Amino acid sequence: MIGDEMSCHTFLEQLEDFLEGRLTPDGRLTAEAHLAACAECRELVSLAAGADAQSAPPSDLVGEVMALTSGRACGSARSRLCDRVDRFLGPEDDDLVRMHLAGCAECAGLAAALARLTADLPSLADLDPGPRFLPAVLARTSRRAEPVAGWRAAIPAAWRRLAYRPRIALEGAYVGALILLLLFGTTNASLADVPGRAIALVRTVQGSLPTESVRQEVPRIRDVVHSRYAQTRSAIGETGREVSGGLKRKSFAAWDRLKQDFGTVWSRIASPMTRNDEQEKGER
Amino acid sequence: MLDVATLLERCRQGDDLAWEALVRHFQARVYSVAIHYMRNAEDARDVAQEIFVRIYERLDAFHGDQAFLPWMLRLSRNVCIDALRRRKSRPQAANFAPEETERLVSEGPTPQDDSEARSARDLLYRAMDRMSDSDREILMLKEIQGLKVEEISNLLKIPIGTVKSRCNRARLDLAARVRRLDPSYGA
Repeated sequence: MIGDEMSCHTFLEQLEDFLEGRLTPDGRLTAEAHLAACAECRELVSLAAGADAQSAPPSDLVGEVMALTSGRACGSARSRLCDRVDRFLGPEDDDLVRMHLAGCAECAGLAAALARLTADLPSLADLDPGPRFLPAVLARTSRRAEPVAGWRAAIPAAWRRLAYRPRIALEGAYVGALILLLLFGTTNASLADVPGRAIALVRTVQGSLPTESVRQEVPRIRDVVHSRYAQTRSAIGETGREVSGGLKRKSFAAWDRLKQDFGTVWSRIASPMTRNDEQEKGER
Repeated sequence: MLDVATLLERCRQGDDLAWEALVRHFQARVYSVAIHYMRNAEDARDVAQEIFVRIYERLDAFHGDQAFLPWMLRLSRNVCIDALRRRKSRPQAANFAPEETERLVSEGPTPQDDSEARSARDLLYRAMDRMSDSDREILMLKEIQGLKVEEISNLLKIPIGTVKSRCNRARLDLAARVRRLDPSYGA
C-alpha cells in the first residue's frame, strides 16, 4: 500500500478494466495516480501488456475449441438475432450475441441484413395499383344497394357467397345424400316404408280402375271442355271490343277538348298582338 | 383527412364520398396484400377490386370496437385464398413481376431516392420469390403489414409462440437469401 487514494488490491481488481479501457475517467485518473506511485503495480501492468502483445492467441482458436467441445455457436446466436434487432434481448444475452458477432463475420453480416430488412420491409406495404383502380372499384360498388340493407339483403348475399364457394357442389351432394339416407335409408326412419307403400298403392289403384266406363266418359269430357273453351273465347272477344270502343270514344273527346283549349289560348295570345298592331297603325 | 372510424361510420350511412376516401386510403395496402398472395399484377388488381367489393358488402359486420386493419387483412386473405383456389394452382415464380405495373407510394422522393428504393424493393421481391408460401405470408402479415403477434395468431389460428418462431425463422431465411443476392446488403 502506497500513500495514494487506491490500494494495490483495489488496483488489481480493476486491472483488466484498466487494460481494456473500460474504467470511468475518474477511475482511470485514480488508477494512473496509483501506478505512478507504485512500482510493483507498474511492473505488473507492463508484464500484462507485454503478454498481450507477444502471445496473442491465433484468430481461429475459438473456432477450433468450439468445434472440439460444444460445436459452433452460430445457431444459438442466430436464434437470438431477431430479438436483438428488435431490442427484446436482455442485457446479458445481448452482450453474448454482441461478442459472437464481433468474431463471426457471417453472423455479423446476417445481423446487419436483418437490421436493414426491418427498415425496408414496411415500405412494401403500400403499392400503387394505378390510376384506373379507384374508378373501377367505385363502379363495382356504386351500383349496389346501400350497404345497410338489413337481413333481407344479407340473406341473398350470404347465399351468393355460399354458392360461389368452390366445393359447394360436393357439399350439396353430401348433405342431400345424408338427408335421403336419414329419411328413407335407415330402419327407424319416419319415411322408411314410403316407397313400398307407394308401389303397393299404385298396384291397388291399377287393379281396381273400371277401365270400360272410363273409356266411355272420355268423349263426353272432351265435348264439355271444347264448348267451355268456345264460350270463354267469345266472351273475351266481346269484352275486348267494348274496351277498345270505349277507349276510342274517350280519346276523340279528349282530342276535341285539347283542340278547343289550344284555340282559346292562342286567341288570348294573339288578341293583344292584334291590338298593338292596330294602335301602331292608328299612331302612324 | 377524417379518421378511419369516422369514415367507416359514414360509409355505413351510405356516404359515397366517405367510401371513395376509404378506398383511396387503403388501396395501396390492399393491392400490396393481393400482390403478395397472387404474385401476378393482373390477378392482384382483380382480386384487390374483389376485396373492396367484399369490404363494401360487409361493412355492417365490422364492429367499431375492433381494429379495422386486422379485419381488412383477414378479409383480404380470405379473398386471396379463394382466388388462388379458383385458379387451381399456385403461382409460378416467373409470373411475379410487380415492377412492371406498380410504383412505391412515397411522398415526393427525388429520382435517385426513387431508384434506390425501387432497386431495394426488387431485391426483396426476388429474395422472397423462392420462399415458402407460409414464410412469405407470415412476413407479409408481421413485417410488412405490421400486424401484432396476437392478431396473426387469431388470423392464422396458430399459437402465439409458433407465430414468433416462424416469423423469426422467415426473417433469418430472407436475410440469408438477400445476402446471397447482394452480399453488400446491410453493410
